Amino acid sequence: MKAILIGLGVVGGIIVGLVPAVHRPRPRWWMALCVGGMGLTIALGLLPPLSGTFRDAVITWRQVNPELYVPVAGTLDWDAAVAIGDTLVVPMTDRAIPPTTAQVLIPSALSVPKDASVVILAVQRWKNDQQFVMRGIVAADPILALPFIPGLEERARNLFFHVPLSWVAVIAYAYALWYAVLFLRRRRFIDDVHSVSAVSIGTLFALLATVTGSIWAKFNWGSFWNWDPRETSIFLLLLIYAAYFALRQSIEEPQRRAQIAAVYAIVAFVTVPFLVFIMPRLMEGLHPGSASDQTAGPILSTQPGVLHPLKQIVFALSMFSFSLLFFWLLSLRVRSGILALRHKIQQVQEMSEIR
Amino acid sequence: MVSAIGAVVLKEIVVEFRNRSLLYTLLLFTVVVVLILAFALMEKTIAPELFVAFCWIVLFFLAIQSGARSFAAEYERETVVLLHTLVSGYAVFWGKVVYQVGMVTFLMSIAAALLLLVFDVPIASMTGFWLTLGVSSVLMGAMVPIFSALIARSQMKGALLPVLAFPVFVPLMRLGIEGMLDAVLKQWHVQTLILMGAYAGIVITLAAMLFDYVWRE
Repeated sequence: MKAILIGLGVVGGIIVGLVPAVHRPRPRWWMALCVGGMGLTIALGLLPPLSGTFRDAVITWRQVNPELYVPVAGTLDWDAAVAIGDTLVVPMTDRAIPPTTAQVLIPSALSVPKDASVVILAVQRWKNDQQFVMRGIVAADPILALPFIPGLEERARNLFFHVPLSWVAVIAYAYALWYAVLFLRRRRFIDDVHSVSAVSIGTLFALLATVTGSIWAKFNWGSFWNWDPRETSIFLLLLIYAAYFALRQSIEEPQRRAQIAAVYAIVAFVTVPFLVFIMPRLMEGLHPGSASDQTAGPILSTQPGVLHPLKQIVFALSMFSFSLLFFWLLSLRVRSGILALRHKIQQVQEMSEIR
Repeated sequence: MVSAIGAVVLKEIVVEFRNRSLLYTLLLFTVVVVLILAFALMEKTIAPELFVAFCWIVLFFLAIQSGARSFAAEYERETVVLLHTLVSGYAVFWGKVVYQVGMVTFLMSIAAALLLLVFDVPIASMTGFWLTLGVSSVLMGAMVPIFSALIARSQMKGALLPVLAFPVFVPLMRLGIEGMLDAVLKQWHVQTLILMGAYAGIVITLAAMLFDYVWRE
C-alpha cells in the first residue's frame, strides 16, 4: 500500500507536471491543483496533533528526556475517577495495539471535556510506569492525528518537506540532463534554456533541502552540520551545480557556452545516482537507511508499520505537490528564458538591418 | 586508430620533453610537499591515516596540475588546427588520456616512494597499497582530460578546473581513500577497486562519447 501511494505521488507529480508542455502557460485547473496540494500538504503536515501511547511516554522518560511531555491519546473512564486532594485520578485506556490502561493524575487547575470520547493529553510518567501526570490538553476528539515518535516528536513533520525538496532536486537534475542531451543532438537554444532553468530551480530546491535538513539536525543531532554521508552528498551536488554556473559564466560565446554546459551537465549527472542513492546507503551515518541503520528508512523499508498510514498519505501528497511546484517554477523560468532569447534574436536582426 | 592515438601520445611527450616545464614543476611540487611534511612533522613514524591523507592530497593536485593546461596550450600554440586536420577527436581524447595516465602514475609513484622513504609507516599489505595507488592514479589521470577540454576556452581556466573536477572526483576519492586505508591498516579488498573502476569507467566512457562536442568547433 505504501509503495503504491508513494509511487502514485512521485509518478503522478511528474506526469501531471509535464502534461501541458513546460514551455506553455499552466492552465487554471493545474494551478489550482498545485496550490490546493501545497496547502493541503502544509495543513496536514503541520496541523494534526501528535498522538502517542503510554509506552511512548515511558520510553521518552527513560531514554530521551524525563522532562518532556508526551501527547497520549485515549479514552478516560470518568466513572472510575477518584479524587485525592486537589488531584483527580482517572483511568485512561490508550490507543496502542493491544491497548494499555494506566492512571492519569489530573490537577484541579486543568479541565478536560468529559463528553469527548477520545482526548490527547500531554502527560509525563509519574511514580511508576502505570501512573502519569497530566500537564495539559492537546486535543479533544481530533479528526486526524499523526503518530508520536519518541526522540523525534514534532520534528518528525520535517519528513513532509525535507525529503520531497531533495527528491525534486533529483528530478530537476535528470530533466536538465535530458535537455542537455537534446541540445547536443538538435542544437536548439530552447533546449539549453530548459536545461539551465532546470539546474537553477533544482539547485534552489537542493539548497532548501539543505536548510530544512540542517535546521532539523541542529535540534535532533546537536549541530547544524555533521558530515553525515547524505549531508556530504548534497554538499557535493551543490558544488557540482555551482561549478556548472561558474562554467557558463566563464564562456562568452553563446553557442559554445551552451555546448560546453550541456556536456558538463551530462558528465556531472553521473555522480547524482552515486551521491544520492548509493553512497549514503553503503556508508555508516546518522540518516535513516544508512549502513548503520537496521531498516532501509521509513520510506523504503518493507517492514509493516514503519510509516503510519496518515503519514504515507501526507508524504505521497507532498511528493506530488512539490513536483507540481517545481514544474510551475520551471515553466515560468523557461518561458522567461525563451522571451529573453527571442528578444536577443530580435536585437541582432535590428542591428543587422541598421548596418 | 591506435597509430593516431600513439601519434598524439608521442606528440605530447615530445612537446613536454622540449622544455620539461610541466614535468619539473610537478616534480618540484612533489618534492616540496614531502619536504614540508617532513619538516613539519619532525618524526619518523606517522599514523597510517595521515600517510593516506598525504598521498591523496598529492595525487589530487598532481592530477589537476598535470591536466590544467593540456588543451588550453593547444589553443595558445595554435596547434589545435593541426590536430583537427590530422586526427579524429577520438584519437585526441584517448591520446591525452594515455599521456595523462602515464604522467600522473609516474609522478605519483615517485611521490609515494618518497613519502615511504621519509616516513616510517607500518603497511599491512604492501601489494594492496601499491595496487590501490596505481589504480587511483590511472583513474584520476584518465578523468582529467574531459575537464581540461571543457575549460580550454573559458576565462579563468586555472581556477575553474579544480572547481569542475573536484565534485566529480569525490566518489572516486572516497572509495580510493577507504581502499588505501584498508590496505594500510588491515587487508585490501578487490571490491573497492572494482567499484572505483566502475564509477570512473562510466565517467570516462561518457567523456569519450561527448568529447567531440567539446573539441569540434
